[in-house]
Amino acid sequence: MEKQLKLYLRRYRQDLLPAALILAALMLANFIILPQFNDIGDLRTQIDVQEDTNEGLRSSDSTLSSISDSQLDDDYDLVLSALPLSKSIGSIFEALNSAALRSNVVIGSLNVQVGTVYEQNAKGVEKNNVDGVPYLNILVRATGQSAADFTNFAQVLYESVPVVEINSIEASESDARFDVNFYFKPMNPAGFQAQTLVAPLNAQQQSLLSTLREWSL
Amino acid sequence: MKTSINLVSKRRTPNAFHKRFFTGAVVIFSLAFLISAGLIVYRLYLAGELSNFKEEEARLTSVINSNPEKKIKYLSVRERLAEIQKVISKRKNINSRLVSVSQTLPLDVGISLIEGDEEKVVLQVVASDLSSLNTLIETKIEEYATESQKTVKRVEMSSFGLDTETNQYKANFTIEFI
Repeated sequence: MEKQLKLYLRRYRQDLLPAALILAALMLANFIILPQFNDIGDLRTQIDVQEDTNEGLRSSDSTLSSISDSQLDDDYDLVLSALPLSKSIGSIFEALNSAALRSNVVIGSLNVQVGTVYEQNAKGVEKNNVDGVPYLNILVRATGQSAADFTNFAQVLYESVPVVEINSIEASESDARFDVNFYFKPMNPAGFQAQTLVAPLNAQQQSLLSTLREWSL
Repeated sequence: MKTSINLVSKRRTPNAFHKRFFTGAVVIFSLAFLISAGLIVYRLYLAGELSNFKEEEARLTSVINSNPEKKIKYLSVRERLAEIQKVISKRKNINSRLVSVSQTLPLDVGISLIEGDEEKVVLQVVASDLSSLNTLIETKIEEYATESQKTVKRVEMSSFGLDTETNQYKANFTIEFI
């Protein structure tokens, strides 16, 4: 048996080295090349995801760096005056009086439907809301010199802060009744704390900010 | 003379097939080796790149979170603007209708009553001259309906008369919108 094996080895020794090389190449392919392809694919995916994440973070960093603290404070106060955190009766009266002064109208009476002040196990969801933005409905009676004064009053109110919606207007020559919704929205800062990415304001939001600035004058 | 001389060598000489087989095996092994080495180097390079990205992420996150108040304020501004945009885009602009209706009236026609909601505008107009009301009925209302981009469904004159106390003509219109 041993003799026969030696005979075979002697006979095929020229083929042994090439066969061993091919076997080694196959082992390289199986144990190194194929697993490396898988690893490289995974790494590329991770890098792509990481690149996107870092791009967002770079953009967030640049967004926050580009705005000064004072400018941000102004913008923050402006959006809070446009959409207050709560049913801000004070700011509503102020807005109505300001609009009345600018349109030669005198506010007669206000009928405010404040709603539930306390309710056990209340879920905190306002019944009156538009797409999740709650509002306070107020009936405003006013007196003036002409119907034009009232449409002017409504226009001034419409282009002022806080943001309002006028449901109906009934105006005669000397008095008028306006059904107005004043919007507000409580804030949940806890939701922002976990959020790392800060996207810059888009053109539409920048334009809205400018409009609100004009309305607040 | 020796007749049993074997001139064929016992050692096997490599023939063309064996040479090709050997060369092919060396080429295959070399290629496999080079590809393996290349892939390992590339994988190490990618791992290094990923590590750099992760370091950058940690640095940027720390910078962004270093001023949480500013971040929360900025995010609040963004969120509020989105909500305000939502309200503004959905709110009814009744007043612009009332203004455009009142601007349609001839100069010597006054408004004694104007009511508006999402669906309709009710208008009571007064005029001392009948021809002004005639202009309003004959041309101005049709012009308004045409110019208001087909949002006017119907215009109805519900009443018309003369107020003998003031000696003024009065007309009531209802403008219904789509």
